[in-house]
Amino acid sequence: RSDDRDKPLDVQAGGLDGVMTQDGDTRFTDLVITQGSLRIDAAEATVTRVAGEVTRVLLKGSPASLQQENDEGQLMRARAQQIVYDTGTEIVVLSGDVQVEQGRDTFRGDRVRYDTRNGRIQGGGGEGGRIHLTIQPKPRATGN
Amino acid sequence: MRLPRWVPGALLLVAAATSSLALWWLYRQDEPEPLTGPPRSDYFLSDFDLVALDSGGKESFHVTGPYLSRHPYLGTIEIEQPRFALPDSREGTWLARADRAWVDAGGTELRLIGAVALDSPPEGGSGELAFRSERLDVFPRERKVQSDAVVTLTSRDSILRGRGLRADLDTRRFQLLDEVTGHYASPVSTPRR
Repeated sequence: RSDDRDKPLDVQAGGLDGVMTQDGDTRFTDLVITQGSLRIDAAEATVTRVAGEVTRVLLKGSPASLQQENDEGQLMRARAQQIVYDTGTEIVVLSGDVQVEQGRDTFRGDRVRYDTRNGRIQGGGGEGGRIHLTIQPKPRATGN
Repeated sequence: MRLPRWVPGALLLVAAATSSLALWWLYRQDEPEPLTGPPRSDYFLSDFDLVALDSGGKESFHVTGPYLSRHPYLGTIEIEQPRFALPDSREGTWLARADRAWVDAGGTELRLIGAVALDSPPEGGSGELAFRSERLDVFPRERKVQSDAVVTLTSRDSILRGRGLRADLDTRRFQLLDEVTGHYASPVSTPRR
């Protein structure tokens, strides 16, 4: 949801290696992140802070997974070997065996760019690979 | 029927043995327990102020408290309600307090035990960092801190908690080894457009 980002963020992890300074990376292992409707599961996450603000989150896993509701309550699920979220541009880049499910549609590819501000998804097959998009037909209105 | 002549004597003998046994038993119980408490301290100080220097003559740590006692043979120190000041290499001073502390003979290891608090010097915009635990071991010369207990680390916008801590006061790097939970008030700022 668009107001997820203003909600507190909670992390549960197996370990943490971080810095007490305003700038630097904090690395979590075996983690679950929740923030509003957002939920992230990953083997490893590196959170980069500049002047105390989180600017970038890098997730790795086999796969790392992310799910979030949009403002209409529709669930979007994504998973990939690597997920990078840039808090400045609010763009998520997924790479490596990517699968994105939005509502009843599924998108597979090697690299996906997901703009969380407007929900726009751009995909790439990577090295001549193909993108697979499955759009489910809308259920026919019954009784006619 | 007449009792045989030896019976009264035997009865007297048994009575004497029983009574002396009872006396021994009672006397043995009154024997005081040998005193095995800690040896009397070499010396003790009250309302003290102590500055420890390293081999190079630089201040390693500074501690004050209501009561300090020194072990006569081991040279170790025990302190009640200690207040430590630990300088780091960035001209900062870390403040630590606890219910009690144990200091090794060389002043190279401080064990802080019970309601332990370690507060960092202010770190840029994020203010102090507060470590809280039931046990922290501090190595002032290496400026390292470690614990196997649960440690909570609170800063202006986050609370981190985990079991097992390794921290370097100079590089400001730290690790929480297990069972980590983190709560960030509102971690993400509005994007720079």
